[in-house]
Formats: sequence, C-alpha cells, structure tokens
Amino acid sequence: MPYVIRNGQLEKAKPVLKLTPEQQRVLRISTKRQSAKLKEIKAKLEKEAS
Amino acid sequence: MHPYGLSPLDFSELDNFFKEFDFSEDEAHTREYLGMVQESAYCQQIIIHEASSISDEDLFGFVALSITHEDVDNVPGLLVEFIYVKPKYRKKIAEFADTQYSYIILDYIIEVALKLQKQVAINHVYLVPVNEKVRALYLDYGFVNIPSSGKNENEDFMVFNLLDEDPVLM
Repeated sequence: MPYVIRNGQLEKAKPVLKLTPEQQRVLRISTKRQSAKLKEIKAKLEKEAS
Repeated sequence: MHPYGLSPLDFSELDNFFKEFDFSEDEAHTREYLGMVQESAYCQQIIIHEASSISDEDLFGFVALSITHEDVDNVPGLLVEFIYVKPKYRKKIAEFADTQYSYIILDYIIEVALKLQKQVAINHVYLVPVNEKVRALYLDYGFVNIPSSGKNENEDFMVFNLLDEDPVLM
C-alpha cells in the first residue's frame, strides 16, 4: 500500500473501496497520451525481441 | 544495447544495493518512507528494480513494485510503491536517452506491466504520488487521476491504462 504525507505525517493511502461510474470510466478508457506511449513502448519491445 | 539498465533485484542483493545510496540529502519524510520501502523489500512484499547508467556505471535510482491487493476496488494492476531518483539526477535529462531520468524509470515500469499483461491479464498501472510536485510529473507522462479516490484530492490514486481501447466496446 502506497503512502502519502498527510498533516505532516507519513500515512497509508486510503484504498478505493467501491469505484463510482466516473472512476470506472477512467479505468476503462485510455487517453491519447497513454495510447501513444503504449505504441512507442510496444514498438521498442518488438524491436528488442527481433 | 541500451546505455542504461533496469532490472529486478534478488533478496540477497538488497544489502549491498542499499549501501550504494546516501539518503542524507532527502527530506525526513522521504527517509522515513525509504525505511519502510527497505523493510517491505526485505519481507519480500515488494520487488526493488535498480536503474543504472551503463556508461558511468552509476545507479541513478530504483523503483519498488508490487501487485495491488484491495487498493483499487480489487481491480488488479501493477502497483508502483515508490520511485527513487538520486537528488543529482532529479528533473535532469539523461543525455544518453534524451529524456528525464524519471521517465526512463516510468518507461521501464510500463514495459514490465506490458510483459506481465501477457501472462496474467493485468490492465492497469497504479500509483499514489507522495506529493503534488511528483503528481505533475506523472500527469505529464500520461498517468491520470482517479477522481475522488483519495482522502482528499492531493491523495488521489493515478492510473495508466494498458489497453488501447475499452474492452467493453470491442
């Protein structure tokens, strides 16, 4: 579990217990930037594998 | 061959590895966090991956990785527990890679996740920035905030999706 600095103290981050529809949407849909980065890294991995 | 190398460390390598770092320049909170990271690594709850420059054989940082448990509503993913870049390399461009040292580590994390995805069907990389300065860096890289997921907006989880498209629509 990651930590955050809260009120000057290092505290455990709060787990997400039940995703809201808006949060689910963020987890389902990649952004353009993410897609571009994935394409770039997959190409690099393929090049290394060949 | 890359001018840099990142690789996971075996439990037996941790002692020598941590001796390579001097954390005295880091803030008190960071040192406290680093203590917990080391303890978790020794308990094998996280895996430390070292990051080094091949040319000068200098370690420039490391990342601590695990798999989510209940962290994000039981949606599985690779969890970035901690990223450490030595102070002298922070916000600096690695000339050998033409990008920031932090981004070299982030690229590596996505590579690890993509390799894992082929084996165990995880589709997300998660992290929680320890402060707002690093949140900006992760946003710039491509991570997005999971809105209202933290105790306050400064503590929101961030996610990087590994699927190009929404599988529900495919």
